[in-house]
Amino acid sequence: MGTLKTTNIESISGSGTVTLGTSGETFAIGAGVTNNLGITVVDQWRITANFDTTSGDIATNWERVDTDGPGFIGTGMTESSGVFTFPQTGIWLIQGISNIDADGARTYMGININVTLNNSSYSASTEMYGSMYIANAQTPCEASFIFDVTDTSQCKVKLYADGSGSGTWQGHTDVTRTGMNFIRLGDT
Amino acid sequence: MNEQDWLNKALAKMNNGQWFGWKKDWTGSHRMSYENIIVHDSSITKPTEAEVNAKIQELKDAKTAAANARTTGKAKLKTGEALTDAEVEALFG
Repeated sequence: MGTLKTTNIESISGSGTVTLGTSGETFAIGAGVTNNLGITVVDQWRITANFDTTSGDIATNWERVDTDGPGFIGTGMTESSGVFTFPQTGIWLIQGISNIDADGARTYMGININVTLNNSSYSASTEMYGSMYIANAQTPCEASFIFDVTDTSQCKVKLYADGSGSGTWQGHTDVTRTGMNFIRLGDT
Repeated sequence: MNEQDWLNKALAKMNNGQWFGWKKDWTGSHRMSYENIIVHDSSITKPTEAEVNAKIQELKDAKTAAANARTTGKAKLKTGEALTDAEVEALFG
């Protein structure tokens, strides 16, 4: 057993894969070591304008967060009409967040993370709600889902607004009030 | 709430859905301003600035009225007086 000390490992050819270890072995990150290996993609999006509805896909006004020094890693998501496409397969943590205004007393107001495995039929992977019994109250809502993206052309996600009555899912150009975060945790 | 928040709120209350947004190549001092409004829904005409301002004022007045109704409603609860519908809604939804 020894310690290999070097500053750089590259393939002989200058391209392709460098493989560490073999089947049955385990790699661990030492205590106090910064690990940049596991998470290869971090991305964050938001809507830029308020959305008044009772329920519906949050389909437009999406932008990548661009104020207050947002952090990103790797090649991020692509978005079209509120449908997000993953840049690569893997296990992904998806977070949906929203600040919601109620027009009146509401039994529930919230967001769903809707996913498809066939680029067609969507179902709610996560449904999160708050209740508001005082007119013009607002509630924060957060939903998360860990998605196994096995095929980037088939596995997609969108954010859905859902309430027992009308309200406003807030959007803003400078502050994230309704948005989605995407973190790739590892391989599928 | 600042000027941009009131504008954003007023526009959202003028029509349902995500009918409006803001220009990406915006002008002026803030992206969220009347001059930078874009309309996504072809069935909707961009409201005039006067219409938007009227809506903002309507919402501000409603907020003030609700705050007043909460204040008077609380006072009436202490003295046992009957509440108006507006006071009930302001206090209990």
